[in-house]
Amino acid sequence: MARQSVDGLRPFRALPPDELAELERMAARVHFELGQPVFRQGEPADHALLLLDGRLSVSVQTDRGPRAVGDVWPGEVVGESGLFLAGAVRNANVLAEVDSVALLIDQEFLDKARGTRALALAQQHLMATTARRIRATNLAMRKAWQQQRAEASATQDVPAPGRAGFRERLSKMLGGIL
Amino acid sequence: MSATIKAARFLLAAHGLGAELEDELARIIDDCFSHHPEPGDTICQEGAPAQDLYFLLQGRVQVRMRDYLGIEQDLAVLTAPTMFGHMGLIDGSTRSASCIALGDARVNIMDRDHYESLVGNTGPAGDMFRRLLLSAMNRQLTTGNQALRNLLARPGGESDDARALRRISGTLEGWEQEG
Repeated sequence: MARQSVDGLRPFRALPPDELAELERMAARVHFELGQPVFRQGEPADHALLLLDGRLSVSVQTDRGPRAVGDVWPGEVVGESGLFLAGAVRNANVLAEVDSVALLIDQEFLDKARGTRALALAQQHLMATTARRIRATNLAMRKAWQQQRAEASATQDVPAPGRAGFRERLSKMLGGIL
Repeated sequence: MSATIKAARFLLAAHGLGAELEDELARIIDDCFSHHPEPGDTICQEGAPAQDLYFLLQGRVQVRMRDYLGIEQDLAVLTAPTMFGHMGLIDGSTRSASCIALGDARVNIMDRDHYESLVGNTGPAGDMFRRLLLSAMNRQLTTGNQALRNLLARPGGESDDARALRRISGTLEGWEQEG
C-alpha cells in the first residue's frame, strides 16, 4: 500500500507525532498513476511536490529528443522553482514511473504552515537540496572545461576547433539540468 | 533612510518578499557585527572555511576567483546593498571566491551561530530569512542555467567561453549583484 504520510521521511524525522499530524492536515495529497505526466516542460510552474511514495522520472526535451536526467525518490522535492520565481515555467518533464503519491506544496500550504516546525524543516531540506544542485552544476561545468583543455594540450590541438567538443561535452554533462 | 533599512527594503523587493517584513530584516541585519574594512582588505578568502554571511550596506566589493589554471581572475563587483557568502553556511563548503573591499565599504557580518539560530527559528524572522535564502539560491541556479544555455546556443571564441564560464560559475555561487 502506498505511503500516504510524511512520517519516516528524512526531513521530518525530528518531528513529534502531533506536529506530523498537523502537517498532514494542512497538506493536500496528489496521486499519479504509472505513466501519468506530473509536470510538462514549458508549462507555468506554481507549485512543488514532496514525493511520499513511488518514483518519478525527470527528462528534458532537447533538439535531439528527450534526455533522461534522473529520478525523484520519496522524501525528495521536485518543481520548487515555481515557489520562488514569479512567472517561472517547468524546465523539465516529470513522469510517474510507478503509482506515486505526493504532497502538494503551493502558496496556500506555505501560508497555512507558516510558524510550524514542519515548514522550517521542509525549507531547510530544500535549501540543502538547492545548494547541492548548484554545486553539481558548477562542478560539471568546470570539469567539462578542464577536460577539454587537458585534451587540447595533450594533443597540442589548436584551441579553436576544440570549442565544439567542449560545448558538446558540457551540453551532455548538464543536459538534464539545462 | 538608514543603510540597514535600505538594504532590507532592497533585498525583500529583489526576492519578491513583502515590504511588511522590512523591520524584521532590518533588525536581523542590525544584530550582525558591523565591520568597516579598509580598501584592499580581504573580507573572505577563496578556499577558507565559510563561517559568516555578509550584508554589504555601503560601498563595493571585488570578487575574485581562481580559474582552472589557478590564476586569480576578477569575477564581479558587488555594490551595496546586497547579501553574499550564504552558500558556504548552507552546505558547509569552503569559500568559492575571495572578496576584497573597494573604497569605503561597510559590511554587517552574521556568524554561524546567529545564522543557525535564525534558520532553525519557527517565528516570522526565521521564515522570512529562509525564504530569502531559498529565493536567492533559486535565482542563482535559474540564472546560471539560463546563461549556460545561452553560451551553448551561440558561437564564440575560446576566450569568450573562458570569460562566460567564469561569470556563470560566479552566478551559480551567488557572486553577483542582486536585483
